[in-house]
Order: sequence, then C-alpha cells, then structure tokens
Amino acid sequence: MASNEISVPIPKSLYNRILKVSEELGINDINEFIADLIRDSLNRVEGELSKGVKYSEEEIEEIRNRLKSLGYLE
Amino acid sequence: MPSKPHGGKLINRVLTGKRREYTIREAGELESIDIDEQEYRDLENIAYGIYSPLTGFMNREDFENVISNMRLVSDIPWTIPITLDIDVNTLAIREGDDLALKYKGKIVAILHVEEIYKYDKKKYAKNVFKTDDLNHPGVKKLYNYHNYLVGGDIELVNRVIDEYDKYFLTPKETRILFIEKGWKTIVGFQTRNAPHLGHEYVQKTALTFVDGLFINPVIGRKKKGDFRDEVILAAYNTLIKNYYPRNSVVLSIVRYEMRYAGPREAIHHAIMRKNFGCTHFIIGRDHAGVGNYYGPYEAQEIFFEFPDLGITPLFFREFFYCRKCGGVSNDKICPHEKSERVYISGTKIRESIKKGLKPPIEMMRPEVADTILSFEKPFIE
Repeated sequence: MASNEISVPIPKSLYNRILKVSEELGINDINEFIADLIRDSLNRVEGELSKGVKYSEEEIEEIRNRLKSLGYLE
Repeated sequence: MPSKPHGGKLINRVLTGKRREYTIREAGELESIDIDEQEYRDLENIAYGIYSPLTGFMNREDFENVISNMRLVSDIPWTIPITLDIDVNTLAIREGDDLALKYKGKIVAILHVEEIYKYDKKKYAKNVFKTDDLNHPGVKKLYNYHNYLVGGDIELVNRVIDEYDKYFLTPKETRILFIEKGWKTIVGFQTRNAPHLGHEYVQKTALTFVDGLFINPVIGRKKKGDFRDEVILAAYNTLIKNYYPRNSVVLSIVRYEMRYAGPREAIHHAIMRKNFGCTHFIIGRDHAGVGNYYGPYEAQEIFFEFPDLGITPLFFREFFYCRKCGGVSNDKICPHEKSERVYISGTKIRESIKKGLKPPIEMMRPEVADTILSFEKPFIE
C-alpha cells in the first residue's frame, strides 16, 4: 500500500455487492471504482449539509403563527 | 444562523395525519410495555429532534460505544446512553417485532424492535457516573432497572400535554424563532432553579458576546425541597420583564430527567441546546453534579476532549457578591479580601423563602423574591 493510502474495513457483503456491480459495468479496477463511489456519495452529503435545515413556506408560516400565539413573536 | 443540528440533520419521528391514525389502530394489536417518566421524556426528545441524530433507543453497538468511547458508532460525540429498559421474562417479543410504548396508560409510540440485549450495569455506572455507589441517584436508578435493554427506531403517535405546554418549543420552532429575531449567535442556559443574582450575572456576561440568550429550564421530576416548576417559570418571567432587554431573551422549557452524570451530562446538555439552534452553551461550576462525585470544574474540562462538538462552551467560575466591587464577581477578577464576599447560596435563599422572608438583595432581585413568595407552596413537598 502506498504511503498516501489507507485501508478501511467494510462489510464483506457490501464489498461483494460493489464487486458484482463493477463486473456488470466491466470495470477492471475495483479500488478506483470504490474511491469514485465514495467521492460521489461524499459530494452529495456535503451538498446536503451546506443547505442546512430547510422548511417549506407553509411550515414556516404555521410555526410563525404558533410563536405569535404564544407571545414569542409580535 | 443557528448552529447545524448534531450529526447534520434534525430528526423528526412524530407521526401525523393518516399514518398516525393507522399506526394508532395497529398499535392496539401489539404487545405493549409501560415506560417510566425518564423513558417518556427521552422518547419525546428523540421524536422532536432534541436528541438528533438519534432516531430511537440505542442498539447494543451504539450503547457500548457511548459507554466506552463517548461517541456513537458513526463517531459523532454522544455521552449519555439513551436506552429502554425491558423485562424479557414477561414479554414475548423478538427482534423485528413492533412494540407499543405506553405512558400513563396511553399508547404514545411504536418501537421497531431491532435488538434486545443484556448489559453490564457496573461498567455503565463506572463509566457514565464515575461511581457505582448506590447513593448516587443515577446509579440507584440504573440498578432498579431490569438486565436487558431494547433498541430500535421509534415513532411518536401521542404526546402527554401538561400545563407547561405553552412554554415548550421544538428545535424546529426555536430555529425559526432565532432566525426571525435575526440572531446569528445564541447562548443556551440550562437551569433547574429560580434565578438568583449569580445566574443573572452569568447570563448577561454571556449575552454581551452573542445576539440572543436562550433560557431553557428543565421541567420534570425534581427532589423534595426544590422549587416547583411553575415557580421557576414565574420567577424567570419577572426577572426578564424587569431586568433584561426585551428582544434578547427567549424562555422555553425542555422536559428531561436529570441523570446527575456531571461531566458527561454537561456534554449531553450542550448537544440538546445545539439541536435547539444554540451556538454557545454556558457551563458553570459542578454542572449536572451531585454530592462530591465530580470535581468542581470537571464538567468544563471534558469539553477539551470534543473539538468536534459543534457548539462553543462558555466556562464560568464560582461567583459571589463582593461588597467592595458592588456587584457579582469571581475570584479571577475580584481583588478584594474574602470577608467582603457574600457567596450566593441556593440553600440560604431557600431558607429565607421558607420563613416567608426575602433573601438578601446581594443574592436575589426583590421582584423575583416577591414573585416566589406569592406562591403558597413554592417547593416540592
């Protein structure tokens, strides 16, 4: 293993699923394929995180009304 | 902006509409267990996201990791096990079943049973409470439980409404409230007491550096001699009305049963307030402590083990009223001799109130004292 690489244990069942998909796609390099999968997932998760907590306008209005009725908002 | 929820996502496990109706009907056919007040409070806190990222009672892996490493399996900081006690001798359930949870005779939630497991109480007590002494209230409670826990996701279908509901805001609501108020930084304050001058000093010092103060009293079972919940809330309303800038404070309760786990519980309290949207959290001397089980500043020191907690702790030392300074101070900033110091003592305050007298002005605002004295029975009996 190169010095800029690390080994991360994953469940064997998960590895087998990845292996199966990679074979179906005709991918030769399983390591590269796993790294690509992680990068894709990570981009998506990071995107979700950067959005923070989002609510619909109706939800916000409903909450605003409750906060007003309780005296927390004017 | 309020802080991100712990683990990145605010959890909501409250069923509404047709799914709720359907689930309640189904629940009537299920095996059920009665849960106690602590478990019900935890259930509600999971459902409303106060315990985000938890989606249910802990499975063995998370439980063991929390006990040993103070983190969930996902590596997210978590210090207090959130568990559900089960008597395996009287209940015929298996992993994969659904279980109805009842509180005060009413079905309140469904638990999707993922795991039933035995646990080591001694290890739990030693790691979480730092003692297995049965005189410790948390240890005593732990040893009264059965020997098995049940883990799995929950769905809340009913809430028990009480007289304090108008003071209860969910994390979703506090987050919108803070945004509406234009607060970017919010400091949380946890309390179980009527406010005295020391509390005011700590809160106002913290508020000097942030946009808003979130006073979040713990409502729930208390000890004999403690102030009643309605007294605490009335006393805070008086203090806020008379001594706080109108748009800088929010008073809202959290229903939770104290574990008295000192340092570990301080982290847990911070996580709850992070989920409400707080960016900062006040930690005083012997936070969440009881007796002499923890060092006076242990609940502050533990925060250095969690650089990834995502909420900034604000540490306060023991405070006193200094006659020469003419105000509340602490030993770091007050140069005067000890004879000038009046230590603000909860015990002394309670003794005065019990006699129908106002506590000294160096300890409590007279308006707050008047409010407390207006109650016929201000203490738990």
